[in-house]
Amino acid sequence: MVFRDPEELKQVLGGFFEKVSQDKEFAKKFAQSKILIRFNYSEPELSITLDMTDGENIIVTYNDKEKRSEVDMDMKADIAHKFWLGKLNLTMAITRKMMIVRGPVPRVLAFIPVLAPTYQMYKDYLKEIGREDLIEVG
Amino acid sequence: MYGYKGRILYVNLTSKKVEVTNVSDDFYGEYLGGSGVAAKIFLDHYKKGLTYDSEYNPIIIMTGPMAGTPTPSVSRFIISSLSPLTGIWGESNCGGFFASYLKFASFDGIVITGKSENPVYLFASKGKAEIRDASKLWGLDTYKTEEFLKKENGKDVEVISIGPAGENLVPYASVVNRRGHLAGRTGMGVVFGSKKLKAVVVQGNEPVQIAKPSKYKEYLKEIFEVYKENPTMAALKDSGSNSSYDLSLQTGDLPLRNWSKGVWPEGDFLGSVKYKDKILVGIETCYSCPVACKRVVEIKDGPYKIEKGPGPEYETVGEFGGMLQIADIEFIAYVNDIANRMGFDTITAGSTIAFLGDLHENGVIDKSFLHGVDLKFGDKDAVLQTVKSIADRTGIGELVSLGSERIANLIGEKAKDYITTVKGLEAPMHDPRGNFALALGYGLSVRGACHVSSLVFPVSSGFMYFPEIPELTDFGDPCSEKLKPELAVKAEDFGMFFNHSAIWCIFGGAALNATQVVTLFNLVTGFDYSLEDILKRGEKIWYLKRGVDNLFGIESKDDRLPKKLKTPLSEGFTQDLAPNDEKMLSKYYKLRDIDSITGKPSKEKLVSIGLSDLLQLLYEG
Repeated sequence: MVFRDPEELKQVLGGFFEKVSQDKEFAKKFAQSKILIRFNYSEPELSITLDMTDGENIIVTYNDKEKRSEVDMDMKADIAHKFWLGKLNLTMAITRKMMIVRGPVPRVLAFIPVLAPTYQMYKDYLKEIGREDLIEVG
Repeated sequence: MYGYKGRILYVNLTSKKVEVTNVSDDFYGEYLGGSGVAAKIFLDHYKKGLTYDSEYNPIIIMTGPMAGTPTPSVSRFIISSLSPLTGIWGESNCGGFFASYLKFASFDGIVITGKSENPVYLFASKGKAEIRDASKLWGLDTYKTEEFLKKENGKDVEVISIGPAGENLVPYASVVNRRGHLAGRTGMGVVFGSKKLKAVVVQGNEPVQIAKPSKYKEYLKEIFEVYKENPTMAALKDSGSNSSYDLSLQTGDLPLRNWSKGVWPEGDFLGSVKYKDKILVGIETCYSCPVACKRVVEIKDGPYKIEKGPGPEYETVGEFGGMLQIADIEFIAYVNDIANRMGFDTITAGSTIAFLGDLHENGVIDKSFLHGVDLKFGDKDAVLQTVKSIADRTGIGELVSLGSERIANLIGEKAKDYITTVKGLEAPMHDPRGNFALALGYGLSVRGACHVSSLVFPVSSGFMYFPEIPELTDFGDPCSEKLKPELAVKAEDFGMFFNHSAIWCIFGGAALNATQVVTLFNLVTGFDYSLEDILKRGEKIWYLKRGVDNLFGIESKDDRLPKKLKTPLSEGFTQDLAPNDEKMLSKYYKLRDIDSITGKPSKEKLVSIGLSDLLQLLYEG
């Protein structure tokens, strides 16, 4: 396991989403989808919700049972980490059910073009928080 | 007979003789259908000195046993012959509705030899067939041809036809059904053209018998549930084959600027979102396919105005977008419309134009070689002028219609560094530098560089998953040579069954695992094959096709990637990466018992798999 407990997962992956949400220009590109997406992680367990329904901002919440998601993506936290490092074959992960998508697939497809810069952003973020060790773990 | 009709139509266009041959269960049990059967028929027709335009070069049109049944994504047919483009085994498979109607007309396939003096078309209905005059059709594009033949024969017919490219013997001319379903690669349309065969029309309503109808019906319910739940099928339904475009661009799978660049920011304008926003007006499907990945597009005004019709597939977007650096989806739809009407393959056409653009940019050729066209990457006008001249082979079209390998041979050694062919066929839009298995996929493909000649690409890219076959499940890091030869062998053997003989669609079939496809095959045909039985027959079919290639001079040196595809890029997702195909091939030849110089299977191997007839031709002349 890359992340030893939910707290570490929240700090690293959650922290990354929060950083992305603070980059106004980038957040706007992401939020154009106006989607509410929930990532349900296991090993360790944590769910992270990205609320982009206003079309401008990304609101990050944790284990949020109030908001109703349009798309849910279930995966192990290790798979998520590998994905944001740009090391995961997304097609294979979905085919082999390492990543399970629930909800309209076209909404997820629309995301793909804006993802490209995030892989480097994640690596930069890991360095910034002193977790370079995780770059090689993925 | 179940699944199969047990009848193949033989037509000789010289003698005008039409006859029907009954086929036994045993024969189909061994060669399965589609290109397995076609390869055996081709071998039986083989004579030394055969060329694509020989009278006795057969056009073999074959369906699989499940075409015409409700089984999803499998009502397809193949056309094979000696390829005019590559001079080796030619083969192309196609969806649409033709395969089912050929079965309904009471035939599994058609074998056409001879040559007509005047344009003709073949009409097959209810177990009978006749050769009819097509003089009025010669010169018409594929859309008008189909329209005419439906008017003449009724709306309940299915048509495959060639356009002016096939008539004018452009070596990569295709055969077209319903305007947008193409047997596109290796120039099967040229063999039609050389025989003055404009079209084949089929009509019928005789259903296909299922061996175990009640079990089949029950099982089919489960299968349709699989389709409903599969996210890849949902993506295909939503965005067609171009649903993979954005990911391909990001991960370095999409070749750029004749395989020379790793980054193209403007490329974002060709993904699924832009496609939908700008040109999409509907979707279509093939016979009994719940996926419906075919796109319908329309451009109402502007320079690239086109009427409602089939939209470009991923490969066409890749060729005229990424390869030629044109980030305009309307332009690409316009080019696609021309290619469908004229009847030629957009992969070979796009790659040949990009190859010439690269040579021009690097000063290997000048404008005069290009018939005065200032062909450059990103230049829409020059590319369009070129595309428009391919079918009638005028001006630069005379040059481009040759395909890249013949052009390279005209230029000489200097052109070799820019070419993207294996065995004379231009590589499609998937880059082996980020997926080393594909070096074997392309190198060993029996019809030349191709991503669907085996299951190497669909499996290694993650699009397909067959957990029942260990070699197709664990094959290591995508950018290492380890375990790739083992993957290639099984991907070829299973692929010979899956998308070649049973002829499952590479897209729609991706929803299923090996157990499901073998079960469906058994329920329809009444065979009781295990996966092992299927792999054994797939192996035999693969060796048979490889042997045919050997008969036409293919040696192991022809299994290598061109330099362009294994030169590392200095940027992008696959920066500094390139496969070592020598290393993988050396292991592969051992696994296949193929001589590492001659490229021929050993005598012992051929005997052990029951191919003594091939052995005689390969070793005893």
